[in-house]
Order: sequence, then C-alpha cells, then structure tokens
Amino acid sequence: MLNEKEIVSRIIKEDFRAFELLVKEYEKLVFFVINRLVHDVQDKEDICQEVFIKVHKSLPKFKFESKLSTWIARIAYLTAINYLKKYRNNPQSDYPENIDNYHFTDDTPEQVLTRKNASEYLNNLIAQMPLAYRTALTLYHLNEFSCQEIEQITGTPEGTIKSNLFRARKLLKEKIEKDLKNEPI
Amino acid sequence: MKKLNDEEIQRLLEGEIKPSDELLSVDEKESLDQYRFLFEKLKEEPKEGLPYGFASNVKRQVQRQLNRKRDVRFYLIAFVALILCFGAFYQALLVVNEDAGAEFIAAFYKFKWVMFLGSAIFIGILYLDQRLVKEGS
Repeated sequence: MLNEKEIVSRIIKEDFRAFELLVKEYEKLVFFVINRLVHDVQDKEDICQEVFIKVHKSLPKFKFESKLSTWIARIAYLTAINYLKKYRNNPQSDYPENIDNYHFTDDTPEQVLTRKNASEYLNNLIAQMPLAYRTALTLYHLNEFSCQEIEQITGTPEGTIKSNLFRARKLLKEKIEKDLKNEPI
Repeated sequence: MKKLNDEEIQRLLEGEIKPSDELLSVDEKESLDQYRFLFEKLKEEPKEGLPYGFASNVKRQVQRQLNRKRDVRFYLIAFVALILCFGAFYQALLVVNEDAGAEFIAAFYKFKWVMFLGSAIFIGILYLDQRLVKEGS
C-alpha cells in the first residue's frame, strides 16, 4: 500500500520512479473505468495513458480532500465522458430519454453465443446498458467505491446512484434468470 | 409473513439487513441465490488488461513531455538573453562613444542576414544535437 502523501510529494519533486509506482498501483482502477465506459478496444490504452498524464499534470493541485484513488477515478471518469462526447457512436443507448424505463432489447446472435460463458454474457449485457448504470456497477462492484465516493467521482447525487445500482442489478438479474434458465452456468 | 422484495434482497447481500436463513421462503432463497451469483460475477475482473510495461511507457511519455517543455523554455530564455545582451552592448557603446554606437548599428544592418542565419544554424545544431542524444538514450 502506498503512502499517498509521500508519493505525491516525491512526484511533485519530479521523482519519475515514484510516478511509475503510482501508475502501477492505480492502472487497474483506471482500466476498469475506461474499459466499461468506452467500447473502442483500440483506444482504451491511449485513454488510460491520457488519464495518467493528466494525473501527473494536476497532482500539485491535489489537496488530499479525498482519497487519491477517488481523485484518480474522477479524472478517469471525466476523461472517458469527454471521449464519448467527442466520438459519440451510440448516444441512444448511452443516454436514453427515460433511464428508469430502460430494458434490454432482443438478443443478437453474438449474445446468444456468449451465454455459455456467464461472465462474458454478463459483460455483454452491461455493455448495452446506459452509461449511468455501467458507471455505477463498475465503480461500486469492480472498483469497490462506496456510493458516497461515487458521488464525488461522478457528481451524481448519492440517492440517484443507489437507485441506478438497484435498477441495473434488478435488470441484470431478471435478464440472466430468463436467458440462462436452461443453460449450464 | 411479508415476502422480501428485490430491494431488500440486494440490501441483504450488501449486509445492510440480516434475516435468518430459515425464515426465507423457497422463492426468496432462489432470488437470493440469483443475486448472490450476480454480485460475485460483477466483482470479477475483466480478462483483458493493460499491457505489461504500461507504467514504464507512461513514465517515459511524461518525461518526454517535460523535457520538451524545458527545451522550449531554455530556447526562449536564450533568445531573450541574446536580445538583452545586444541591447546592453549597444547602450554601453552609446555611453562610451556615440559614433561607435551608430557604426555598430550600421554594421548590424549590413550583416543582419548573416547574423540571423548564423543564429538559426546555431540553434538548429543545438536542437538536432538534443534530439540525437534523446533518441540514443
């Protein structure tokens, strides 16, 4: 576990070894966020790199008002959102008009094929969900942030995050229940 | 007894409520198992990830950007210093001998292109030298 204050002060003093350690510590966190929010496989590594370059640039402004991981996750989240706005490929599914009434559409043949692998199938389902659901599921379950921390990262009120989490999990459970009933898991 | 709804089952899995297992009906247990399975799967890390050596690549990229910034700053300072030195020299000449100052300016105008070219070649060589050193390292 890194000592946040020590590593930040070393990086500010241009200790590149310390920066490399920081990247190693948080590369998974950043990748999980980018991986779920951005669909283009080719660009994921470049976006992760951009996130860490921004982290290095903004580190002198970090005041330890939140955990370093929360601050880095916020940079990753905002970078992904900017990327999606710039190269918006599928705005309808990312920002549906009424998120509370969102439901899965019919399966594509590719999805039917992935049913045999529950994890892959689940990831496919999550990839179809609106951005707010994907964000909440990823930050809460994969990155293990609390709802309060997710509020700091995304700027979405805690109550909305809780409701998005609940809705997303209910939708996934119902879909899996329906689709995988006769499939071996 | 009132049946547990989806929200309560999710809260139960998050440890917010703790009903006894024996109190749950078959439907509730089935739903609880499905949610438990979902929660486990949601925690699974993706198979793909960033390449080995990603941290070193980012470090090198940041180093390169900082070096470039420093180089630009160095050239700007050198340029400003050169102009200031030139101005100071001219002022000193004016103080010592006004004619010498005028002759200096006249000589400068006469050879202005040679001087500009010389300076450009000098800065160009410095720039190329730095690039070659960086590429070799």
